[in-house]
Amino acid sequence: MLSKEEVKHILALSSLEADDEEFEVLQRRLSQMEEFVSQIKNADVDEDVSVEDAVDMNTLREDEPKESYPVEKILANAPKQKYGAFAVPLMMEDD
Amino acid sequence: MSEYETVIGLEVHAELKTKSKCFCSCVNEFGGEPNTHCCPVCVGLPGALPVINKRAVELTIKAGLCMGCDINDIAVFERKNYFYPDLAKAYQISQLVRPICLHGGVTLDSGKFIRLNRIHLEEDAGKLVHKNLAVGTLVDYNRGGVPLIEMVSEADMSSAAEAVEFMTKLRHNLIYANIAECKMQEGGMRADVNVSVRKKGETKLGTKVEMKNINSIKAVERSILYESARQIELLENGGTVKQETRRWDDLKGENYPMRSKENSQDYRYFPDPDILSIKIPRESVEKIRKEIPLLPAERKKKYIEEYNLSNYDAGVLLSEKAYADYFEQCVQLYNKPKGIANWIMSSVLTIIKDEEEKVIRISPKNLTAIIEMLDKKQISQQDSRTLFAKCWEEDIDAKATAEKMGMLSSLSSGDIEKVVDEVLAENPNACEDFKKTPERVLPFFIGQCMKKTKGKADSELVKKLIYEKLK
Amino acid sequence: MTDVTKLGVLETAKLIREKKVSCEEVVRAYIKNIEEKIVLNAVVEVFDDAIDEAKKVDERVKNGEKLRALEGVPMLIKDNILITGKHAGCASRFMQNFVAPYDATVIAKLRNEGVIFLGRTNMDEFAMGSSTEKSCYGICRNALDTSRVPGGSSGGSASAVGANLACASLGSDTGGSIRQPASYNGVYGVKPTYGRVSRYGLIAFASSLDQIGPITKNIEDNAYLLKVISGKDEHDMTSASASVDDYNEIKSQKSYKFGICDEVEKQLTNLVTKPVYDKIIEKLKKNGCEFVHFSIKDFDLCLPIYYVLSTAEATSNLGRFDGVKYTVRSERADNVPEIYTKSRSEGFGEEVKRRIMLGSYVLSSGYYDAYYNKAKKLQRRLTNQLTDAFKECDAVLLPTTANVAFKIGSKGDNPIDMYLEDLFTTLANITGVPSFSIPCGKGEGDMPLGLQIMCNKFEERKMYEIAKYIEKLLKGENV
Repeated sequence: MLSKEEVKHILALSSLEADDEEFEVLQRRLSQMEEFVSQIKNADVDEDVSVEDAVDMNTLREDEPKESYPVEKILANAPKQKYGAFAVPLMMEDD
Repeated sequence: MSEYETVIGLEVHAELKTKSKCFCSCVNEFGGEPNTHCCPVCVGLPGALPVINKRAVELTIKAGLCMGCDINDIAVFERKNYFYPDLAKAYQISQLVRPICLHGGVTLDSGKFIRLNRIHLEEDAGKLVHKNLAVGTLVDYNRGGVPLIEMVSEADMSSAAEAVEFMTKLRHNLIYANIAECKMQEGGMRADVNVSVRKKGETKLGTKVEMKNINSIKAVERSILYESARQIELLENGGTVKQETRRWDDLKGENYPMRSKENSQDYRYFPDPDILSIKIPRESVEKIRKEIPLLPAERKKKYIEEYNLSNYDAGVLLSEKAYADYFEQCVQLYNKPKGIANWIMSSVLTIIKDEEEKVIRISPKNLTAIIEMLDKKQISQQDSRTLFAKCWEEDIDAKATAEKMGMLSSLSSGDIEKVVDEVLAENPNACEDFKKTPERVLPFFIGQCMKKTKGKADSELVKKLIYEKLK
Repeated sequence: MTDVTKLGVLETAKLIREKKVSCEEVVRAYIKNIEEKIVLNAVVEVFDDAIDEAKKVDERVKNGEKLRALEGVPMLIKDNILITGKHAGCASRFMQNFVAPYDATVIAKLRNEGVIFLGRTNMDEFAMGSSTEKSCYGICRNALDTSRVPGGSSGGSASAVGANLACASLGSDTGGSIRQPASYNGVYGVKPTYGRVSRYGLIAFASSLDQIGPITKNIEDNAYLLKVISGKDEHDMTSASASVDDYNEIKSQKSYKFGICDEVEKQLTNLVTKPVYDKIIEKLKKNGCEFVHFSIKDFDLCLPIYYVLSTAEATSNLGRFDGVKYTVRSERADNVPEIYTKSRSEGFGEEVKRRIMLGSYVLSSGYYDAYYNKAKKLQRRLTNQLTDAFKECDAVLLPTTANVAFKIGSKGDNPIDMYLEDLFTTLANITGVPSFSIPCGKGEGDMPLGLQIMCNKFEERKMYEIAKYIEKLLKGENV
């Protein structure tokens, strides 16, 4: 069972929130999910994971600039915008 | 104060000089109206995927070679996950476990070697502009996705001066090798500074405090001086230094603790599944190595050993790549490095040192022509200065102008001898005085010859003839 | 006149080209079906320009212009694939205002062939689900039995094809999301080799597992459509340079060598559907096919591996949905941290939030090595085990699902019950091999069952050839 602190920490990392009622259900469900995948923890394996299918750097994209999208398209779905930029509430120093 | 020593580590970020961004083809250019250098990739639209820029990888390798790093044969990119409005995807593509460059370092003038831990490639975030309560904070992603190299030093520096020198040398190398422009006022180079103190002789490191995103070398210096003093005072008063990130306010000249979660972030790094590992073949590294011009440290050696310049003079010429390049172009045209160096320092640099844009307005061709004509005594000192000023103001040819203005000396040695004879004949008393005190009378004779020749006489020749005739 | 909505992609293209039917007739017929079968809730939106586009096709036909291969063929597209100017909602209330500013690469490719986009289909929110019960548009129903689920997450795409609401559709598959719903609705669905099809313009769930694939009424359509959307894309670094063959080409073999995984067989012994698969194997053996058995020791870890890898990548991929740039923003947010937490908590559904959180957990400091890194290593080992098997056989056969489509609401609240749906399908995603699900028999309630044909990476052509062979045999035809 995941502890309350662990669940709170995960909520914070994920930028999510839950009220007391939701929190209890969440704690239970997450614990079930964690248990489901916990077999991974106990598996014994020492395969080398790094370096699968590395691509030669000489085949990478050439450094040629292309036309950007018009700003209207960039902002088209913005919930709030001002002066050509995405707008959020004024941020305090340490927000 | 003196029983403590300071330990400093720097993480320096520099924006790479590529034409397009790191993971998309939007232009890599400072400024522009907000969000006009953007596309689905750098704005983090759903469905968009990163496509890495070859030149960004090449320039990172180049930077590593300049600093003597080992270049990894496989490089991996990781996602650094956190939420902040200037980070469009809510993760920054960076490198953790297998960066492009490892180790390396920079040698200071004192001979001390400051080690680098790594140089890796990552992308820059957008910009936040905090307006006011009504408008709020505005987010502009133009800078988002611009390629950055992060150069991480070991904690080898023991003074603000060393940190300044280290960062300056890094900057010069990057500019000289055409890797980054490092325009400080455009945020082209920034540093995170880590400072700790400990009692002299102590081997264990003290608790370090970090100050992030300092964007001028002078501010780096000020922040280190302030912070080490703050820590020492704290310890001397029986307190302890808290490990934290503090915000440096350069205007106020002080730092203060940050309230935010900066101190307890878990970035949950994992290899970016949208970007495959990059293979760096040895041949590609060698090809890039050939692109590197002579760097400041090596150029200085050359100036001192081959050109016989003084350490100071070499330093002045190398203080800006533009000066050094100009100097070398002149030497190519006229192989008198010492003379050219003197001219540049006394004439060229004195004009532009106070200018905003340090543009050298006299071509190497013209400058060397003037110096050569002067050396060959075809023109006088006075004329050379006039010519210099004219060439600075106008786009003219020095030699042709000298001719047109009648500066070129048409006096043969025979003519000069005639003039000398005239002067000696006109001044019999002076001739007598000369036999007793030659050094006192000589200037008078030279002056008279100059008058007669309108300054065109070669003073050395005049002197020689006078001595010959009056001996 | 045959009901034109019963026809597939290639047949419809032929009819239009031969002027035996107008494109407008075809499109209107499908729209009529969609309206009549509204109870399925498979189609979220019928695009208002579909009929105009059909009329344009008819003009081109009338004027004798050169027609493209799929001119006028109407297709439905899953709600997580971007079409310029159209909403892409990912079945999430968080994305209800989002209009796509660019075409996914697969859309551009289909457009180039003359396909008409009829509308978008229902799905599980952010592709996380196996029943299309978790959608902001409401539940979707199985084409053959409305009391049952259509499967998920491409439930709408599969139900639509099963109910003849279009010639074909596109879905996406991360852990079985094309194959399982295809199997549940008695239609054909493929997950291509990882990297075969560009992911540019697919709203990402798990970057190293996602693939887009066609859902069709027959094998030939499926092979053809896959070829159209395959190929290296400069916008997707993970797209493969492997050459794209004619997947319908038959190099013909009289019989094949098939691999059966011991661990799958073990699972099968507990399933009521076992007789169906036994019969298939019998038929194949009778026709001269050989069967080899191999073991995938890590088979039982498929699901945990899948849920660790996919949730980890998802938590990172879904970070960009934040209330700042293009999603709905919470009205209760007074500052930036609240914009994130409130918008996301209000916008995402419960299952999505749970998976985001599990993903954060398995990547977090202290757990990364035990979970994510371990899962990657196991993935490597699992892939090696399967690759070894392909040395001994042409294809691996296994059921698509454990049973027929289940009743709506029957899985209850424990998320794990739903995760077991992916039992047989995650293997192909984890290892990157292609897998094609074809209808192969019936189960309880006369509902369809599916058979998966898995081949080695980039062997799609062989996979389709084998599928045709097996289907012919199952239908009692001569091969």
